[in-house]
Amino acid sequence: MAEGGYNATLCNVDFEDSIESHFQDTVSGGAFVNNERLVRVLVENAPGRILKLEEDGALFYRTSDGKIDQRAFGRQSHKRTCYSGDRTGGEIMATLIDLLRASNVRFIKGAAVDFLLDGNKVTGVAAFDPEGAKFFLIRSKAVILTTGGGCRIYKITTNSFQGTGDGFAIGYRAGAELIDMEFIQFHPTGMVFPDSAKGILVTEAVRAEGGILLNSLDERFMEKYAPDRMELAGRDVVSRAIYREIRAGRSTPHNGVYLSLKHLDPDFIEQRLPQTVEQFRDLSGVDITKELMEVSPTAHHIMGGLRISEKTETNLKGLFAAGEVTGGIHGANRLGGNALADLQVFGYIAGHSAAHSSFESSLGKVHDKQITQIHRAIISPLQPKQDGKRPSQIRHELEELMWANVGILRTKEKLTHALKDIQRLKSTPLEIGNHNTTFAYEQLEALQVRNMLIVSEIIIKAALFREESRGAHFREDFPETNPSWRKNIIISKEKIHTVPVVVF
Amino acid sequence: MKETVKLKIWRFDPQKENHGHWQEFEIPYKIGMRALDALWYIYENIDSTLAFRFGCRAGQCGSCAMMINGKPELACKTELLPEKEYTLEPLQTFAITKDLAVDFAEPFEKMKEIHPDFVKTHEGVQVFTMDEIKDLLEYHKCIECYNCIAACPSVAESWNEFVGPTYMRKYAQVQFDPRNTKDVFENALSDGLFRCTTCKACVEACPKDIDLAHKAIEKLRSIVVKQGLGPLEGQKEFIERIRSYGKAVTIEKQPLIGKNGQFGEYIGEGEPVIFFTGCMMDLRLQKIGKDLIDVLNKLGYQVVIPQDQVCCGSPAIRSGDFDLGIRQLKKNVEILERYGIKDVIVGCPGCGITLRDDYTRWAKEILKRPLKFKTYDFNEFIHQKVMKLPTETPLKLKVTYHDPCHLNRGQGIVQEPRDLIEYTGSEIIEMKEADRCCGAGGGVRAGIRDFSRLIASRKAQWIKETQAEAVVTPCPFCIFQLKELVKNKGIDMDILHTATLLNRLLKRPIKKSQIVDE
Repeated sequence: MAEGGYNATLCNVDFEDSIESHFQDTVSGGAFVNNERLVRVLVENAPGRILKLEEDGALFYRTSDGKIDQRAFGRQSHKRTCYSGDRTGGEIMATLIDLLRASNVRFIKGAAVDFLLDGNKVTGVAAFDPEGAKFFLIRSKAVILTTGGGCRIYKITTNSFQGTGDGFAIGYRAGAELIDMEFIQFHPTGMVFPDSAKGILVTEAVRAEGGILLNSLDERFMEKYAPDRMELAGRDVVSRAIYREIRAGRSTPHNGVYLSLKHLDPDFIEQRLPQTVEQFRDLSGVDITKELMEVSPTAHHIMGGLRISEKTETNLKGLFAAGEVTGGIHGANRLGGNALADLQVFGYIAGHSAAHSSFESSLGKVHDKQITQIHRAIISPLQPKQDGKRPSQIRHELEELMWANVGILRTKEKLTHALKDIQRLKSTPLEIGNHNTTFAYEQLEALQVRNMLIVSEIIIKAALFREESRGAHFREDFPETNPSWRKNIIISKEKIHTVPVVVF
Repeated sequence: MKETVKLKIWRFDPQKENHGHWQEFEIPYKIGMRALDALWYIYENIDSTLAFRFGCRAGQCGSCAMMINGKPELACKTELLPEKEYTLEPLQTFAITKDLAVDFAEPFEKMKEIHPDFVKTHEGVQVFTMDEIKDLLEYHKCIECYNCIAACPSVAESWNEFVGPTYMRKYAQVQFDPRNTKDVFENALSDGLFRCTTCKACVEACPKDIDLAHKAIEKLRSIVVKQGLGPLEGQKEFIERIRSYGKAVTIEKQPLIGKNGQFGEYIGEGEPVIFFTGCMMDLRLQKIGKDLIDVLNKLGYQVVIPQDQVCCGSPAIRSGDFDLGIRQLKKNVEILERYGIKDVIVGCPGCGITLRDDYTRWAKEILKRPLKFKTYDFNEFIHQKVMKLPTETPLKLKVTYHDPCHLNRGQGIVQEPRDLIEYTGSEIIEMKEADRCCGAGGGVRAGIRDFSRLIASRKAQWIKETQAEAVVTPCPFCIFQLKELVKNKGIDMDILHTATLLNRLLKRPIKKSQIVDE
């Protein structure tokens, strides 16, 4: 869950800040391939949305003169990140849930499986409720896709168990265009054990407070990679350095590197990094005031996603999208604090756009043939098969191969190899051992794995296509940024092509 | 042989069977392993029909809440150790979907049902200092895992009459938000505000450490009392008594202290300590008070008893009369600080938690200075000294121990009284859920006697099952409640304070030379 903050030019702390500066930071952070019209919408609306959240009951931390506090986040020219402790996302979510509770909006529990289509118009959603092992349809005049990210395709990720990228795959199957899918942000430091905590973010503050990185030979290896800024070099630089150390075999027992605070006073650590002390104690039993942390880069955010307009329209009629499932806003790399702003700004617009569009349209057609197809796809893993594999087995294989080949350092060779492996996994029959009619979790997992394979395939194809290095996308065989590649890659079921960057 | 972890997991499919059953698993141990890792191991390698919920795996979403070794916990935060056994059950109180997965729809809907209106004072962002919103932010930390609902002994008896901790937290969040103009304390009142025993089982279960008992329940009660809608009739009596003559209970037999008391100001020789008797030992359980004084004397302490001490104010504070609580605080602080003695001993956990928590907090807020004395529970104070004593002729009693809530969760004192019991040469036969509230606290015994008895009644069977000769519990309120309980249920058992047990053992004063100082 997003912890860090929300970027908005409230100028509560830094009077020099401006909408223009937020725009420039976002676009330069995104290595100049952001859709600048979307960025404009983001930076102009971010302040208004956070003020509205406060009015609706959210509480953000205050400055000494009582205004919403703002702090400095990486690669930004001014202090503009608003926050509510280390649970900013949770604060926003709880506020929105309360608004929903006060409304007459109905909650329906279930996982979206596919869109119902009438030509290129989305007319509803086919869904699966694992608790009752039930397949059901929701007809609708408009649909908003807000399924979030999909970094669960990597074995080390900050994402929750639900970050399986279903929205990208559902959109793709329905014919939606996806943009910038090659750009995956890796945060340099995530936990590596136990399994349940693998990938959970270790805040940059640890390094900011003096934490140093060591390999298994006790070498402070950042000296080799970034002698000037050392551990506080850019996230991509630090991520690549750690990854290279691990790849060279200079790794810790749990396949990471060490992050050490041992040279600092325990009281200082307790006082400055209370959340991190608690996190390591509660989730892994490590006392960071005395022991070394083990960390590894961790897949954090997919910059790419469904291509949307300023009104959050997709290329499919009746389908709107917002949040991490969309692409174009953050370009090749996202700034910390821009994700929460993104989903609040565009989520709000999506609600309005969908409502307006549904006022103007009637319920669309539902085609029996399509329902039969979707149903078959859902129930097929239930049939006994020869040489089938459990969804969790396929998921583990996928996580490994994505991590090794489509992670922080990419080459044509590795990407091509990964693509072949994905094809093999896609043709492996899924077989499940859980035929429950209550809590059919493995059936849901089978659907997720099917989606994860598609998302991975899209990412690899886009990564192969972009023969340069830019932002979070690093090709060892094309290590330079190539100005002629200042364009976006669009992938749909039919084709892959490039389009010029939308400038403002 | 690699290290392993053993798990006993409750399996139940309500669609298919009428009864659940335990299933045992033994799985490989890994460093740092959490309960959620174990469940994933079983799901992936042994049995994919095992049902359990999970989400963020970082203690932020609350999905993996379940009972682990009998307590509500988040599976993602609960460490498993090698060669140990763990029981995993679905979260208590809720309908089971399957195995460890409960149906969260009901508590979620309930939150919607009780959802209080938030009526804004004005548009725009209000100016606040961090200090002004500190408590408010604590309410906001709730992740709605519902661990507190599963832990609550009052909810367990009747969820219809007491809506439960996190819902009270929600009321407090809206009531105390300066941006909201609409009062919701009446909703809290009709949802059972006075049915909480302030046992703090919810605080213990809360993964976000929200002080629900104090910051939600007691603060809401204080508003209700200010508005004249509380306290309850039964509670008014003791509040009136405190107001008129300083003590919460009536005078029926010779008091321990005061004008007609059994003891004067200075008793015995040695290092002086103050004994804060509290109302119960002064006016109801004088025998225990005497035991406590004897034990302190025998251990070489001079017991100093301020004769004019008044009720600590706990009964008033727990039922929401903060003003009266503060009045008592001011009187007692003056009295206790008069002697220049640093250590104050209490034998009543109710007084203990009040002197320690409420007095300390209010001293800072109201007196604008720290207290000049430090309060110790009797068990805690003598523990180290007693453990260094040579052994005496053992009492050889078979006892069971009931953890007083205000001692255990209130002051973190769990092991000390048990050690003291063992020192007397008595055997402790642990009862089931020894730390479950007896129902006496929070003004519930005085205010809603039937409900208080209902909470207590759960303990009767567990106490009986131990076949012990006595229940030891170092709390006058628990002693009263449990005495009544065993009497009503026809159980032949003594209810004893640790002071009584120790006084029986220590026949004569301990010579200085017998105490081994390090």
